[in-house]
Amino acid sequence: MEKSGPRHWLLLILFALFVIFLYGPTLTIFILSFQGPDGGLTFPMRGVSIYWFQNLFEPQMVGDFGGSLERSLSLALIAPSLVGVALFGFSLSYDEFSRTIMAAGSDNTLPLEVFAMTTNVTTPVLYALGSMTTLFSFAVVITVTLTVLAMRRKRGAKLAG
Amino acid sequence: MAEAGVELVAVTKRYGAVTAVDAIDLRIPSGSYCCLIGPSGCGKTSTLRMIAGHEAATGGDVLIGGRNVTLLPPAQRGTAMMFQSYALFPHLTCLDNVAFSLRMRGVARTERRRKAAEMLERVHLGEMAERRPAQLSGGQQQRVALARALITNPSVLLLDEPLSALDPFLRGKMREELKRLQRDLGITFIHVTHSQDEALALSDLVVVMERGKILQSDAPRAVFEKPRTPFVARFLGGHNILECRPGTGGLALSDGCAIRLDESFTVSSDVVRLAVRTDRMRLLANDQAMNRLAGEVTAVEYHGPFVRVGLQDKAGSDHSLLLSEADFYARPVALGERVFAGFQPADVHVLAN
Amino acid sequence: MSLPAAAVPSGAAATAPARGRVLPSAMPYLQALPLWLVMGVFLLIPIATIVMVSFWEDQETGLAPTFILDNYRDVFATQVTFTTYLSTLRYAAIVWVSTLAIGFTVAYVLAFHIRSTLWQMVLFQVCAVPFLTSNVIRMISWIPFLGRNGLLNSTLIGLHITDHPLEFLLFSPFAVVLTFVHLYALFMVVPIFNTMMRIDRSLIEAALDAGARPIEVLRHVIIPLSLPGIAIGTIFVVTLVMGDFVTVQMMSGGQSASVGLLIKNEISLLQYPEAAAHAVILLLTVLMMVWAILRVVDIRKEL
Repeated sequence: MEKSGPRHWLLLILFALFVIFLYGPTLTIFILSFQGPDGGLTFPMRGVSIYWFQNLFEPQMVGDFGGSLERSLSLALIAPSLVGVALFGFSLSYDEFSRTIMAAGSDNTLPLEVFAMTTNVTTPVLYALGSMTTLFSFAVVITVTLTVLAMRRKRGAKLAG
Repeated sequence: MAEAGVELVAVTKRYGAVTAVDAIDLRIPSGSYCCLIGPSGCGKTSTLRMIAGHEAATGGDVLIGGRNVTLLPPAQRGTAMMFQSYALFPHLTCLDNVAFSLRMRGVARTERRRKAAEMLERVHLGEMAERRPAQLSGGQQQRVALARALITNPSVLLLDEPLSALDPFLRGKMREELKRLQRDLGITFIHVTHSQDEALALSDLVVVMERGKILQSDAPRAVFEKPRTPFVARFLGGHNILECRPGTGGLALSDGCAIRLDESFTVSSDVVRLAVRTDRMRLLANDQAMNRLAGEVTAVEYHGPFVRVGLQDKAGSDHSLLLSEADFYARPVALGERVFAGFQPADVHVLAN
Repeated sequence: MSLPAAAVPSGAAATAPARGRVLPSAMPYLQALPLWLVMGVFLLIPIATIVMVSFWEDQETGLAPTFILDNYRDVFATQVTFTTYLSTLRYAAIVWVSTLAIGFTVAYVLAFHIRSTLWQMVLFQVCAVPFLTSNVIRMISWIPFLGRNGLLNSTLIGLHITDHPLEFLLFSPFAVVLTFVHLYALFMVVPIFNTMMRIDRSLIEAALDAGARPIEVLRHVIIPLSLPGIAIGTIFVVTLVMGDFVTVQMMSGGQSASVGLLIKNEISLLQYPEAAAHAVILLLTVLMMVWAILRVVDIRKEL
């Protein structure tokens, strides 16, 4: 199929728009998680700080998560992704994918506390948590991808040799 | 049928830094059966795809029937392509597959179905019209692909290794059918293959390619009898290649045996390579002074009508002798035996370097 | 040649009972047993429980294990059920059309307009990564973007396209649909991309050779051959939207209803039999939809 001409570029632009659509909101909360201590849930930014990240890990502070609860929560949020990512990296076939849905999709019905938390918590600590989990997922995906590529290269070298 | 010879003028295809087809010139007469042959990666398929219009030429021109089609899309070139994997649409019936291009041309439903049914009859698949490709055998699928390619009355049919997926028996049958069809239709066939047998059996014009270049293009018999280079001789098979050095009295093998030949030649380097057909060599009863090859028997293979004797000379090069069954059993040789093979001056052909 | 090869497996099978002490005919069932156990414990038993409870009676003292049809009668007696189903189906339809359009386009670009396999893999990962992060987080990330003082409104006001914040952006059916599409688009992209990658590229060339224009290649070759992927994506998206309650509650600001939300509210009011009856009806509805999709498209080749 032709890979040049206006149609090709239009399609690539549509693809780019989809990526922006996917990442735009996540990027917003990533930026907002660096709100200053007086900042709220929306723009404008009132200063730039890592206050809310510290808040996330310090249960004694005025955060809304009790210490152990918070820790188990972020783990619970991350763990399914871990499984999902591990599976995902290895194969993009159907079986893997449906399992990923089972694993990663389960957090939309995660303990209702998480859901309740999103309605009760009115500070950017929520965004900090979101940013952390997203970054974590990214790190795992990149690691797995690189590992797979390295393994493939190694195997390729072995076959060639 | 309009005059529909195919002409390539300095056609080049580059993929990044790799040159797949290197400025080739070729003239294929209208109504001839042309085979492009060469090892994989030699550029034969790229050449075919550039003629079809599925690959854009990096440089040069493609002319069909005197018309420059280099920049035209596939459907406007008067060509039709038969793909290696047949490329039948799995979701359509055989009839709809054959009728596809008529549908694209806006031919009314009843009309195109009638024509497609006729074409299927022509390839003896009338009763398979409503089947899906997956329900057919390989040979039947291929005939559907052929019918689909021919329904637009192309002036040039392009075939990409059409027989490679078939078993040897079907391959032979299909080969005959292709040749008959080409003769009946009188259109140009351009057939890519890596099989020497196929190329020699089918074509009016054999084009041997290597590394993006045409090494030789001629009638099959001319190519086989007078391969231009050692590569062509080796690729077509059926030749022994002898390395000689020019001496005072003419050419001599490395063991000093003089070689006499009828062909004239000019010495341009210190090594002259000669080709002698494997079926033109004979085992000698005794050592003769000229035109003989000394070696040890490394293989004896019985093939029915003939026996192949493998021979390794002192320098370690392998050679073959094809002896008729009668000749071999009149004086059989055993593995490991040291023998002499002789040949006539008329059978020696000088290769270009 | 083929004889000894054929003899080997039968010989192995003949020695199997002696070693494993099970009949060879029982082996396949035995091997499938773990799966059946998992399916039974995690799928069949819960569903059976729900069906059972849906016939129980809700009394002031607690649940009475009887067999009454009152719960179902109540479900069908109220207008609320129908409006809720209508609203849920409407969401499912709009989200399906949107994710299909987006998913097909994205998969098409990935499969046919990206040259190198490496880039295909990288861009696919780029699309896939957000779907491995928390859905709730992804949902709330729309709030600072769409809110009254959100990015979009500030931008629109800044550009003088509007002089007052657009209210319909957040806590509205629009926000629900947008979030659904954001959450579930990949479930369309992946199966469609998978089927597209299996389309033999020479089929497209064959179509072009036959004189098809690019749009005709799409219509006569790519779309028909992508149907199994479209069907699988449709099943994913429709079932996810039909069963959702979190997104609808959160993004509509409590203004919209969905069947899932209805069930959740009944559960929070401890009306288990009513909730169970609703769940059974929802399950049957979704199963019928899946059955209808499978009737139209044969997806067996994809599994």
